[in-house]
Amino acid sequence: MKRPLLLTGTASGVIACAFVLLNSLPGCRPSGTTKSVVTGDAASKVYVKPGTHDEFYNLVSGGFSGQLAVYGLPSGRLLREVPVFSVDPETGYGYSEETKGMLTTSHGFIPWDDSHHPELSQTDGIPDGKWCFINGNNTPRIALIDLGTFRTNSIIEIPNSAGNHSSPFTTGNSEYVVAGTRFSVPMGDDASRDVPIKTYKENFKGNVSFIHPEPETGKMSIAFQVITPGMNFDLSHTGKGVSEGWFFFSCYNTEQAYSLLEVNASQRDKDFIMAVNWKLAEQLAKDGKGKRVPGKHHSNWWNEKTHSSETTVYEDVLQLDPKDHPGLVYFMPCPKSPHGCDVDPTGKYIVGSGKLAALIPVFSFEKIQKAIAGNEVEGDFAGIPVLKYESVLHGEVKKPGLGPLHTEFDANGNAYTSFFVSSEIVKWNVEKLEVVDRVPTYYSIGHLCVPGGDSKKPWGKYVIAYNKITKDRYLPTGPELTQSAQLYSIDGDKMELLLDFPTTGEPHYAQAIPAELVKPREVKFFKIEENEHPFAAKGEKDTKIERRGKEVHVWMTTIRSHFAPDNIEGVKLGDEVYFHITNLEQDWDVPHGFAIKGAANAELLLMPGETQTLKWVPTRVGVTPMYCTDFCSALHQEMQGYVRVSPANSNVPLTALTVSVDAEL
Amino acid sequence: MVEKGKATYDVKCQACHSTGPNRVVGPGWKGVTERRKPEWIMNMMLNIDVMLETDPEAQKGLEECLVRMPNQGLSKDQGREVLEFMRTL
Ligand code: HEC
Ligand SMILES: [Cu+2]
Repeated sequence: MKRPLLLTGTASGVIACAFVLLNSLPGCRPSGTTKSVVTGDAASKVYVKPGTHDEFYNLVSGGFSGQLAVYGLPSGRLLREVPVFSVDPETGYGYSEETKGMLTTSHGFIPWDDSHHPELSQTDGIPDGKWCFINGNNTPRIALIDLGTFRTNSIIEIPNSAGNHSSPFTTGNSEYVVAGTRFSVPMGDDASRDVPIKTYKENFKGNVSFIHPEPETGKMSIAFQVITPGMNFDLSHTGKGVSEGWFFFSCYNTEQAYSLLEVNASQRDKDFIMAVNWKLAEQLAKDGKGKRVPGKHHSNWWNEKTHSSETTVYEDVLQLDPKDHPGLVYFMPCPKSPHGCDVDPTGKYIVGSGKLAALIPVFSFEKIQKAIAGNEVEGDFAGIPVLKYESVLHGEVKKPGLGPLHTEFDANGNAYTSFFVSSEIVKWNVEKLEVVDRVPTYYSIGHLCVPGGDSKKPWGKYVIAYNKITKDRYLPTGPELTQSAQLYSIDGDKMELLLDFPTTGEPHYAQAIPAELVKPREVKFFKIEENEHPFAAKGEKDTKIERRGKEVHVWMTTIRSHFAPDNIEGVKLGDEVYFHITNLEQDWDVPHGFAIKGAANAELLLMPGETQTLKWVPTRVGVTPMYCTDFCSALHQEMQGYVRVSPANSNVPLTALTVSVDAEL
Repeated sequence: MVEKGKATYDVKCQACHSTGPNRVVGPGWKGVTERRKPEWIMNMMLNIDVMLETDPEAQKGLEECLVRMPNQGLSKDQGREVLEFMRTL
């Protein structure tokens, strides 16, 4: 494929190009536009017969949508969008009284975030299909999604973090997921945080958090934070096999710039990959070697029995300072603003991808250990030893392409690296450091994903490109175009483009897992016997209405196809009405919806056996309709009711009824 | 047994079945154990999907009511208890 002209020379040429690329595409986009590179039998390789299932689940972040999207592979069919960090009026997530708590933070209620990296939970270094973690960048948080329900099970806020990008990558048995701060910031009490920005070097600190999810419940808490000199963290991955017990983070802005980073943070030839001995950190924390420092944060958890969120507020957090603990943290020089930080399936090699570099450095864990033992250091960075580049290097992949970002692996010793600037995937051999194949992407690939490709056991078969730019690939839809992904076969010697598929939000990163590991976990409905919601109505006998001052509470039920009660009178202007609705169905795929005219928040979508609450504040006198929004039976259009609203001073008695013309009860 | 059956009825059946002769969503249960064989009733409670596919009487009920009798997730024991409760109507 043709390379853009500008890009043969220096690193500054690369910067200039990246800049042009953002502002006017034609100047820099790879010139081989949409000519077809799809071969004849590609269609049959992605065809999933109507009524049959895909082979893999593909869990794709929604980027600035704040959610997680679920696709089937190889078809690319969108199966579901899981609400995580953003409110979702379609299901009532973030609007119902029970779900609001999932989105509370030390800043109050936050209705949106920017979700970047899904990461599957692991057992023995292999994705197990139990959970999927995902990070919220903007107001630093990590969410855990239960793959039995495809719902957000818990969200934890990360204190002392600013831009939670380097996250949420897991250790081999999901003992921890990590969260490295993108921005460094001043920490501590108010006085220590209120400092001039230009005192970055003295006052700003970075940190990486280790978060522990409880194996039974998924509830998350912060085990410890390791503080670091001020700089930016980008990505990270756990060691495995020989490097089990270590964690690797890419760092940039070791220039410690605090303005115009585009230029000021691209000065040095090398930034760092940071190696953390997390087993040692864990031991130090256990031995009481850390210090508790201020760091207010929320941990929100979804209780599936009460169908409600529970929030724990922590005031502080345990920190470890590597300056006090030799052997905890080492830096390894890595060319030019490393982005991806990926560990091969054996755990022997760590791949740094300098996004402004014209080569890919590969580090050897064995050599890192030797360099540490032999004290082969070239100096220190703010008191932390920097190992010699040559001492820890396995080797460099020379001239692989332009703008290497991320690398995943197959089970046969190959790596697949995405190249944003030259818009391609390059396949190379990890031992030999030789490029063996390359294939263009349309356009400007960011992350890529091989099923199991960042774990001990890649399932291989496909690599999926998550592109940053769509341009002319689909029917245009005004100034804003669909986002998109591309599926390639990696079964043969040559990578082969099979399919383009559109995605919701920005498909930032993704994980893929064989469907067989997830399907058996699926929850079909919530058992009504186990419903412990304080306002549950377990059967129509429990339905009622009650006034508590200005609050009116309605215990209501749904079943195909009526509400009980469906005639309510005695509500007055100035009241707040709480509809506590229990779906009495006990079968798969029978949700009911609830909508009431003038509701200023959302609808409710109720799964079988579940109770949720919608608050409604009437604004005018009269009779207001309510109805079921989810087509539930042939008589769905009959599933409706009325609420009579009277003036504030009226004395209409409070009643709630369902009236049957011919039932003899 | 009858009492347990009644408790299950209140939570899982009452929204659609009266204990009198008249229909709510599904048929009233008064006299159902005289109209129907016990095995047939058990099957309606525990195997509704198969019944609606193969049993002409169940299919006729659907044609009349236009709502599918739902699978309410009863155990075999719960089914027996509800049947005993039906016999008292
Ligand atoms: C959503 C409403 C609904 C609920 C809840 C419901 N049923 Fe039904 N049921 C129906 C309908 C509709 C029919 C008639 C459809 C048919 O025969 O195919 C029916 C038919 C029946 C019949 C056959 C009655 C006859 O005279 O032919 C039995 C027995 C029965 N249901 C038992 C139960 C039991 C036991 C429960 C609770 C565990 C229950 N149903 C809950 C709607 C419901
Ligand atoms: Cu409905």
